[in-house]
This record gives sequence, C-alpha cells and structure tokens, in this order.
Amino acid sequence: MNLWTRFTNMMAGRRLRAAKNDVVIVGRLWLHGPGKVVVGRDSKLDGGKVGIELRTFPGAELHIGARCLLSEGVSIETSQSIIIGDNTRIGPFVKVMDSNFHSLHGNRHERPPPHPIVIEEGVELGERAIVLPGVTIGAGAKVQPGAVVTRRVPAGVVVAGNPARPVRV
Amino acid sequence: MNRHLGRIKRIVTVVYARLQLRGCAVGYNVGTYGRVEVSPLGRITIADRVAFMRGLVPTRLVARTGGELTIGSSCMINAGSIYDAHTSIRIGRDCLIASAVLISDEGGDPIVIEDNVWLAHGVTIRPGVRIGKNSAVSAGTVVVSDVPPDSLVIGNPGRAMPLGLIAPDTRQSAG
Repeated sequence: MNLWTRFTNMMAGRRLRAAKNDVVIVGRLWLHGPGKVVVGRDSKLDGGKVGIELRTFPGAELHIGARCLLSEGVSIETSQSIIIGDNTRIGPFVKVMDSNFHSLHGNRHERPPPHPIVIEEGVELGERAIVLPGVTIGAGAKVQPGAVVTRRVPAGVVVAGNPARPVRV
Repeated sequence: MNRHLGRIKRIVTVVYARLQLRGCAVGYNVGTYGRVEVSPLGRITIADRVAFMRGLVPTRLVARTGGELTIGSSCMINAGSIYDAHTSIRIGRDCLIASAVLISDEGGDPIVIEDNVWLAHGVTIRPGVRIGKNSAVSAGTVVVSDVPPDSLVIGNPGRAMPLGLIAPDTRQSAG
C-alpha cells in the first residue's frame, strides 16, 4: 500500500468511523461522492488487493447494516438510496447500482431516474453477482455467483443465472 | 477557478494519456482519468475524444502480434474492461463501455462493434460477434451471436430484442 492510498484510506475511515462503530477496513477503500454513507457496527470492509468502491451522488444515501462483510472489488454506486441489512455477506467483485446511468432511448448521456435498492438482513451475494436498479432481495436469500438480479427476490430463496431465477439446492 | 476545473482536469488527463498510451496511435483530445495498461505488440488505434474513466482496476488494451484494436471517436470507456485483440477488434463511434467488460477474439473471428453501442457492466463478447449500431447490451450479458442494429441484448446466452419494443420508462432496463 503506497502513501497516497494510506492517506485516502485514512480520510475515508475518518468519515466512516465518525459514528464510533468499530468498522474494520482492510486494504483500499475508495469512498467518493458527496452523499451520505453509514456503516453499521462491527462491519468488515475487506478490500484485499483490489479495494472497495462506495460511490454516492449528491443527495444519495448508502446504509450498510451491522456485522456485514464486503469483499474485494465490491462496487456500490448510489444515486438515491441503497439499504443493506445486518449480517449481509457480499462476495468479491459484486456490483450494486440503483441507476442505469444512461437512458435506452434518445440521448445516451442523459441519466434516467434512479430506483432504490433494498437488500434485507442475512443475504448472501456470490462472486461477481450484479444487482440492478429497483431490486428488493428478501431476508436470508442467496444469490449464486455470477447471477444478474433483475427483479424482486423473495425471502429465503436461492437464485442463479442471468436473469436470476430461483433454483433448488 | 471552479468554472475552469473541468477543463484543467481534462488537460491533465490528456497529458496522462500521452504517457500511458505510448506505442499506440492516439488521436486528438484522448484522456485517461484512471490507469490504462497497454501492450501494443500489434496495432492499437484510438481515435479523437476517447475518454478512459477511473476505477479500482486498470483498463487493459492488448493487441497481440498481428492483432489490431481500433477504438472509434468519442467513446467513453470505464475502468476494468479488457480488450484482447488476436486478429481484429473494431469499436465504432460514440460507444459507451462500462466496467468489467471483456472483449476478446482469442481463437475466433474478428469482433465488430458498430457506432453508438452501449455495453453495460460485466458484458462478455465472444469471438466473431458483430453488434449492430445503436444497440444496448444489458449488464452481465454474454453475447454469443450477431446482434442486429437497434436492439437490446439480455441474458446468458444473450438474446436480442428490438429496442423499439421496450417502453421508454421500463424499470429493469440495460443497467
């Protein structure tokens, strides 16, 4: 870890630890954007070799619950609101975003309205899973590696594939 | 000062691009906001006004010996995408390419991406695929066959549907 990374990490950590909540940060944490980021008690942000990106646009809110685990390469981008419940485990290189950033019709550089994401407590997101705007993942659900979650996932269900569908395990 | 900040930043990125993209044919006003790793054993051509965005993982531009990688003008390319040209990869004008995209023509035919195509996060393009102009490829899609112009591709394996069929306010769009 070079000096610059250490410095930026320190600043990011100060912003997160302002609530005195014993957040553990390992490796690089890239916290950018002026929005609000709240990380719950005893959560672990394990950036590893790649780092973790938490991006908030103006007026956006990102809530991460208590005792969560974020692995390396996780990228969470918030334009409005993303709420992640307690005890959630997020695998490496997972992408969670509540806006599509570009519109399908007309001018591609125009930003469409965001749709909030809710990930309830005890959810497990596998490696390289992608969570698209407007999705709610129910408590205790499990998203298999590489799945692309495009719609609501009921509580306790295991989903896999692209687009993600319930599977029996 | 604040008014000029964007322009100053752009000048810095253009200089940074000259440093990072050594060995490539680079056009006018190409900027790298983040790290870009190139290995120009073949030929890499980057047209005017291309922007490489910043991210956790560097963008990788690889042209193997005899390979050719061409990026059209005004493309926006996010961090962490990999281009691996063994024979030829051609990307048209005004394309938007998100993070973690993998475009490799290893062991296959050339890849052609036409103008104004949007590739969302985590897309994989298989060798020999041609993507028609104005198309959008949804997040996490694996494109295995040719895509006609003005279509939206979803799923693994990627299935194409006309963009006109999708209502402008669809919630689950490309991502």
